[in-house]
Parts: sequence; structure tokens; C-alpha cells
Amino acid sequence: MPKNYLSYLKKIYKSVIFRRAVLSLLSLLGLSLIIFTLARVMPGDPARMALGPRAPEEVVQRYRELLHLNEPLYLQYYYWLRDLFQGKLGISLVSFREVSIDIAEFLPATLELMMLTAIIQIIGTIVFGTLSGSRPGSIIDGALRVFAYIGICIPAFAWALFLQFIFSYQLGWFPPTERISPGISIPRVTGFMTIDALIAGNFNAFVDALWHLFLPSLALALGAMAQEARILRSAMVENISKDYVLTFMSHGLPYRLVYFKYALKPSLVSTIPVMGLDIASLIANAFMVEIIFNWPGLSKFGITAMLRKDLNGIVGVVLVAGLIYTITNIIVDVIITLVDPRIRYGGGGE
Amino acid sequence: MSSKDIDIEFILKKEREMKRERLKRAWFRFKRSKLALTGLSIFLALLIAATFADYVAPYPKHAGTYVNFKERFQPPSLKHLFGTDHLGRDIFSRVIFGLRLAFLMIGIVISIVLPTGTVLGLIAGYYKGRWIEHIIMRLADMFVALPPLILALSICAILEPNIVNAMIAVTLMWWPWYTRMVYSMTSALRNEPYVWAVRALGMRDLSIMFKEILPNILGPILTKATLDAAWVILIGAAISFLGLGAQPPTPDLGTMVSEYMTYFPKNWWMILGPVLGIAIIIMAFNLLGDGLREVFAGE
Repeated sequence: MPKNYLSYLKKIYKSVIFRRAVLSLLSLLGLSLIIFTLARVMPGDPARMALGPRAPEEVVQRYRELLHLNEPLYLQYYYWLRDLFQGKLGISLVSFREVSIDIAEFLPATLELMMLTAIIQIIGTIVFGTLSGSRPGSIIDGALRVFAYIGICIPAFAWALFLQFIFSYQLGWFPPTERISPGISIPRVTGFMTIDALIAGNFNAFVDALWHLFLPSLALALGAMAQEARILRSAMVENISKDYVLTFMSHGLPYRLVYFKYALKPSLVSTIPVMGLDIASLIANAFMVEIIFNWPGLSKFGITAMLRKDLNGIVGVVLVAGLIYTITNIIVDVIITLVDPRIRYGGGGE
Repeated sequence: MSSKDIDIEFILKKEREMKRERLKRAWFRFKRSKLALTGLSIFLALLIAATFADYVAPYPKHAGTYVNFKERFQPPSLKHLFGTDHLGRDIFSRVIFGLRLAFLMIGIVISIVLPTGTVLGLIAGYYKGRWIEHIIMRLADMFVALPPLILALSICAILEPNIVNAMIAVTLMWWPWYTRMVYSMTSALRNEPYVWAVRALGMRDLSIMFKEILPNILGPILTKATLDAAWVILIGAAISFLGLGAQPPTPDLGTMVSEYMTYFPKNWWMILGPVLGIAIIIMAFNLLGDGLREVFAGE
């Protein structure tokens, strides 16, 4: 039915999410322009800076031509943009390869870390939030409150160092670094170590990869989880005393059903945006934790590129990080609309 | 009734009294919360220690390029509270100097971001729908399209990695968050009857923004500034931890963590000092911000 289809498209076009997605992509493009200009306008010769003072003039000249550094700025941006739409981000100085190839190699490790972190964060938030929300003033509630304060104050990299010290170096329960134990090798298909292990049918490798993932994910999840659980807890306490909950109870619905279905869902509405922003920010926060756990993720490439003033590499990392940040935020928006009927049916007016 | 009958002096006096009364009530609300008071006292203690670091630190010389190989890698003791590092420097003294750098960073960044972000937000919110709103807000959107840390890191990388550029990077990353908050509050307030009233009386736009709207949103702005100060510390520490901010031998907390991580599992106490320094300063600002929120929420 073409008419239906058209109205559906119209609905998408009118939706806030679509507009936000387009706007964020445009912002990202604008940002790339700012970073690009900043990188090119800085005093000093980028080619000379990148290659070091001892590089022969001939090489510097070739690099300059490679980056179109001899041409006016708007033409440089045009070339760069043209390459971008062909999926090319330029040659990296760190690896002397296409930046997009480098990023494709390092990014899955970071994404894998982000995903497990998100899972831990979501489960932990719901478990601790509902537990302490059901008994305000109890020991669990008090413990969560203290933990939330500690969680805010201790940055993720400190958690990482702490967990690594206790569970890897002292107790030896978890491996301290790397993605997989030496000696285990699995063919790279997706770049996600756990998925690759499953594809190869090697269950031991899967468990091993998960084992390596656990500590860095926990370190990333802890601080944010504590805060989100607090938000969920106060929303639960507020919702549980509302009239509709009382109505359900007086009709004889079991407490658990009311609590976990009818009180939890509206409480999540205030938690999900915070959680979503935290999960989206993981792409940046993972940087430090990855360094500590020697994780071959985006940070390994990004930090090296930044320290070596590899302009193509920096702009590439910025763009990819921004893209993932934007996409995650859009997914969160979609989830919020699914959970919150007020937005779903309200048409999302301003 | 002629204008002579209105006692200006009396009104002004009454207003001053009311102001004093309001401050008294705010302080009452603030000190009701033990956590806020704790935050305030930690904050003041840290600030004093940081300001007079030369006198508070047991070994002020150790902040810089001091070397004493005889006393390197000492575990924590009464003589060296957090132990000594790979060059034999007292880590406790270095952490106190690190606090000074952290406060300096917050001070400089806030004194740039707070006015700029607020003014831009006021203008964009007040002239909602005009071209100036679109320019300011789309520019802010651009900076918000990226996780703050990545933006700050890349700016630091493009400029030279040092502490001044780290401050520039944090400033550039931070202003849009203010502008967006002030913008949304201003655009809500601009249709309030009292704004219409003063506009009808012929008050100029700039005066309306700063004299009528700004005082009403100052509370949330200050609360956010306090809570965000903790965040600035975190981002600043992250930048120097990754080697793109202050360089050793600068006694920056983040730089110290990355410097001492080389000796990590063996001499684990070395990173304890800087990490505790970061944690306590963040805690102070968070508690203080929560207290301020209580104060302004009660109004």
C-alpha cells in the first residue's frame, strides 16, 4: 500500500528523532570543519611537525603534497570531504596506512567493551535501584547511598587501577591486560573477540575473552551505575506511593507484579536519559581504562595519533567517536519513546 | 499623591534588610544538610592547603625537579605520608601542589566559561527565533555533538600538549553546556508577565536580560558551576593522564598518576596519593553543589 508507506515516511520525517538525527549529523560535519581548520591554521608547518625536525626536506615536501597542504584551505577541506564520502580518511602517520583501516581494526575492541559495560550498567542499575527503592532506609539503601557518593568521586581510571590491583595482581582471579590469553588464536571475522570465538566454535576462547572483558567493563560501569541506581531508586520511591499503585494493590494484584511492571516502567523514564548519555560517553571514557588494561581499542590508535600530531588520525578518531556518540544518543531517544507513552502519543511537540 | 510622599530611603533600607534576611535563610537551609557543611569544610581546607602549599607541604622543594635517589620508592610512613616516587620526591607534597594546579584550572576555566556561556545563552534565549539564536545554538550543538573528553583531547593534541592548552581545551569544550542551560531557562522566562511589564515600560533588551532574567536563573547556574567544577577536574586529570596535558615534572595530579603507573603493581602506593587527591577534590565540589541545590530549591 503505497499510500500507507508514504504516510509512514511522512511520520518519520516529522518525528523529533529524525530531525535530531539530521541535526546531529550536520553538527558533526560542522565540527569536523572546526577541527580541520584548527589543525591546519595552527602556527608551524604541520608536515614538518609531524615528521620531526630531522626528516629530509624532500620527504616533508611529499607529505605536504599528500595532504594538499600547499593549496588554499577551502580546497584542502574540499579534498578531505570528497575523500570522506568515499570512505577515505587519509594516510595515518602512525601506521602509514589508511586511517579508516586502522580504525576498523581497533574500533571493535572498544565497541565490545562498551557493550558489556552497558549490559553490566543496565542490570546493575535495575537490580540495585529496585532493591533499595523497595526498602527505603534499609541497609541496602544506605549502602547504595554511600556507594553512589564514592562512585561520583572516583573516576573510572581509578576504579580500573583499583580492580586491576586487587583482582588481577593480588588475587589473580582475572587477567590484568590484553583481550585474550596468549596461545589462543582465533580467526578474525568481525573483530569482536567473543563473537569471533563463537563463530570459530571455540567455547574456551569465548569464556577466556569474556574473562578478559569483565574487569575493564566493571571499572567503566561502576561509577555511572551507582548514580543511575540512585536516580532509579528515588523515582521508584516516588512512584510506589502514587494512587495508581494503590489501586492495583487494592485490586489484589501481587506486589511483585505491581512493583516490577507498573512502578518500574515509569521510573525508568527518568533513568534512561542519564544512562544513555553515560553509555554514549563510554566511547571517550574508555580511553583511560583501555590504556590501563592495555586494551587494543580506539584509544591505542587515538592517543598515539594525538601524541604524534597525526592530523588525519586525529580528525578520523574525532569523527568516528562523534558518530558513535551520535548514533548511541539516537538509539537512546528511540528507547525513550518506546518506554514513555507521553512522547509516543504526544507527537513530541516542543 | 506626589512623588515626595514616597520615601526612597525607606524602600532602599527595607530592600537591603530583605536581602540580608534572604541570605540568612539561604545559610540556614545550607547548614541544615550535614553533607553540604562537610563539603564546604573540605573545600575550604583544600583551598587553604593549596593556596599556602609552600608552607603546608612538608617538602616544598619536591614539587619540581628535585632528585634524591637515596630515598626513592619509600612506602608510606609518617615521614612521607604517601611514600616517595622514583626520584625520591615526597608524594604528599607533590599532591598538595597538584591541588593548587587543580584549583587554578577550575578558577581560570570557570571565570572564562561562566560569563561567556551565560551571556551567549541569555542572548540566544531572549532573541529566540531570530538569526542570532540560530547561530549561537547551532554552534553550541556542534561542540555538544562530540563526547567532551574527545573534543578536549583533540584540541590539546592539535595545540601543544601543556597545561595552558589543556585549560583552553576544557574551556572550549565546556561553554556550550552552559549556553544550552541558560538558553532553555531564558527562553522559558522571556514570556513571563514581569518581562512583558518591564518591556512595556520601555526597558532596554540588555537591561531586561541582565537585571530581570539573570537574577532569576542565577541559582541553577551557580549550582551547575559547582557540580561541574568536579567534572572539570576529572577531564583535566584525564587529559594529563593520557599525556596530552601538563608534562612531568609539573606536579599535576593526572600527570602524576600516569608517571607513577610505570611502577604500578609493585609500588602500588605511589598512585594512591594523586588518586586520593583527585577523589577528595571531586567529592568536595559535589557535596558543595548538592548543598547549593538545596539552598536554591527552597527559594
